[in-house]
Amino acid sequence: MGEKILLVDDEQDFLDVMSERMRNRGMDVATAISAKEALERVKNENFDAIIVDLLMPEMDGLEALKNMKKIDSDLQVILLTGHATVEKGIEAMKLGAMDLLEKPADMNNLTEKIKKAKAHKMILVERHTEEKIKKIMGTKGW
Amino acid sequence: MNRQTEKTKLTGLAYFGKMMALISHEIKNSLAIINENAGLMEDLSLMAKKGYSLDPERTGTIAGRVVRQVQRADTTVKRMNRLAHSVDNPVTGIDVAETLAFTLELGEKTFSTLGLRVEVAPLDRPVIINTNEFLFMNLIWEILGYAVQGGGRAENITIAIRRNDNGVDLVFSPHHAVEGAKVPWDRALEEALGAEILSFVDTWELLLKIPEILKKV
Repeated sequence: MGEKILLVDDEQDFLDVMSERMRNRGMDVATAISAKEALERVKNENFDAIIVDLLMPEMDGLEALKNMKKIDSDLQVILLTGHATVEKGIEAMKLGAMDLLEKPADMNNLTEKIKKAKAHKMILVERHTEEKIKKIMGTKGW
Repeated sequence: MNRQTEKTKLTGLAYFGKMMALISHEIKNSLAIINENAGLMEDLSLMAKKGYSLDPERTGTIAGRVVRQVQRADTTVKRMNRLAHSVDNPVTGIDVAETLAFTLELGEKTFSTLGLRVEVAPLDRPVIINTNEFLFMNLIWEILGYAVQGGGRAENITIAIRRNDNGVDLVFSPHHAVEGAKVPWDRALEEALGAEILSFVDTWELLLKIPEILKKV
């Protein structure tokens, strides 16, 4: 099964072309034109990776990342930016971003990161499930 | 630029740098979209080599997106060129509404990120003043920047242009930087423009008075 991706950018042309290229690679892609719309989707759906533009009106990528992590700390967020700086990179990592890539991003590199994100998320979900099972086993007297 | 003091030079450089960062970001965004469309064409040709039919609708859409982004990048470069030439003359005739609109266009990405919407109230006829165009734009940027400082409140600010006997009044409304009836920024830009800023706490208005003719130093 292909990776389930949420692509967030305020540029409709960017969303259209990126989602088409990702679908050509077998990914299941949803798009959001704003951070606000993305947060709504994150509340209701599961994604293997979320790709977020850093500079967006009203709520920027870092703010969106903070809010997404509040909803689900396991979310794998990759930030995209026109100009990647060391400061922004450090800030993004501190907030829990998986990576920060500069636009124009190389599609093969991005695809690689998405696959890693999916694998990492699966490990986290498995770990949480294991912890839950252990907790249940410990509290029930079977 | 002979009116500039050391302080206005530093403020001006910071403004110029910020605008260049916004412009380069805008160009990078256009390039990213063009790059992805070229990548998509590559994907489609690879698929065509494997026997998939090439849909003319899709290639037409790709060409349309590239044309749109080239036009957008061209507009951005024209703005950059105009900004670069705004320092050519220490005093020049400017259309106040048009220069305000240009200043807002340049900073639009920053304003929208901060949730700030700025409108210039329409005028029935142009108001022309002779001033330093670059310093004028710099001062407008500073005033709007302070409107969202301290709490970063999202605002809808209207700028009204009124002609007076000695020049022009620009009324920024509402403007929260007038809190405490103090204007919080450095006065060097105002002085260089021969301008005056008054704040009105009761109406949350900030009044910028600019002379019709800036005397050459």
